[in-house]
Amino acid sequence: MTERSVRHAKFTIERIYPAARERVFGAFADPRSKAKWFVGPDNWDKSDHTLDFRVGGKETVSGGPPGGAVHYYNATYQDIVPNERIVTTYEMHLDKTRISVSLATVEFKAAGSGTKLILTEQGAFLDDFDKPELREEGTRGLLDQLGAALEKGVV
Amino acid sequence: MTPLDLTFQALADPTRRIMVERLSRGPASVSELAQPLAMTLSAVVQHLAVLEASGLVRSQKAGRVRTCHLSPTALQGAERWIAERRAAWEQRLDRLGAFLAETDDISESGSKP
Amino acid sequence: MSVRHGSFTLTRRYDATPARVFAAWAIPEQRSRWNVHGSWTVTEQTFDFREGGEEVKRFGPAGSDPVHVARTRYADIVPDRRIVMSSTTRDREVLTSVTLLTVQIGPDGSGSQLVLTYQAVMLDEGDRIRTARKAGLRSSPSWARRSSTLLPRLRGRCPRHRGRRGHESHITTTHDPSVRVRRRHLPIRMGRAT
Repeated sequence: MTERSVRHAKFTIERIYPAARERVFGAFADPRSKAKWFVGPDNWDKSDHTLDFRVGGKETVSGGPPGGAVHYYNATYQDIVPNERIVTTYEMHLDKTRISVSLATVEFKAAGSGTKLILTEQGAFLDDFDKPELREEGTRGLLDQLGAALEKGVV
Repeated sequence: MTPLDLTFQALADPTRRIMVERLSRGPASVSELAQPLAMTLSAVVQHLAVLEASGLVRSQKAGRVRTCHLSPTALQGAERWIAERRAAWEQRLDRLGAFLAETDDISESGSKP
Repeated sequence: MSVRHGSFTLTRRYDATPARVFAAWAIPEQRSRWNVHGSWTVTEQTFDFREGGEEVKRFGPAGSDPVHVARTRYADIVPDRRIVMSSTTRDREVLTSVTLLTVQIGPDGSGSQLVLTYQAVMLDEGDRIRTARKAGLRSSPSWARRSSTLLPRLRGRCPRHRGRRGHESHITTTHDPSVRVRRRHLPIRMGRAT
């Protein structure tokens, strides 16, 4: 009999970006901008990133090391308040296996002339395929990539 | 029942949650509380009794008017809404237990088409 | 405008096998017996218990319009073991919370242990809702909202129903005449998840 387990976790990451809220929010809302920073490691094979940015809309992207398992990200937008808040529910799969179901909230707050971004994730991590600590680390990496893209002016 | 059990029981009912939410914005008379609820005044008074028994709500009578307010020890804001959700699920899981006990002598025929 | 997060875990032991406990969630007639809303009335409850399936519940205070709508989508179902679902709740069309619910069922001696984990984000839309209540209007968020599709797309495996035809659509009345139960049935395509 297969052993089944679930780990539940919550983590919160905050960042301050030297860019106006409209720009930081735009990096999430505009599909071409998001595709610039919402990416896996350089050496990964990558699929196209699709984004339908509206309540009820979907987002998909996948990738993985050459010859290795493919990571699939599938999100549904549950709430969008322009320049303020984005709430998504998302699943991750490794090949055909579902490894997590999560709820992600991103808040955008003015911080002087910049933006404070607060990302909170609550998730159910299934059958020990992925660890919450690794997911948090990966998410920090993505927010670092966002910072770099904002700095370079590509978003 | 522990005080916490009484709180959960009080918050398990959605009508009582509406009443608590109204009181979180300030005191109200019983008729003010009853006004948005489509039920008899005596039903409202019964709900109020549960809320007072749990310690969440206090009331006092001045003349003919009974005024209610949230007890200072009542959970505020963020804690309250999670307590309400928890109370609702506690109630459902209790009812699930009662259902399973009631249907104990029936085999798992429910799983067949 | 504020956002709050919260979670809790509840554990129960039942004198019933995991299969019976799971059936109480999976089978509409059984779920209706215990999945209640206190003294409130549920005026509509659709059922579509499968991965990717979506259910809608409309409810409200007795005697009033059912202004609350909860939409639940089943993300993960392991028969007799686990259900993971996400839900949104709206009050007069204003989104008030998004929730992740995990139910784990495991054997415990001759019975079962059920562990329910609730994780949610609560959106403080009190002002918008009070405005909507007063005006009797329905307030809409500024982004376009897609209406919930009640015709679920077929994706993923359908547990327990391999080799069986899909069910047919019909409306039944549960023992509580105020609740109309609509079971959604569609032909089930075999094969792997897309």
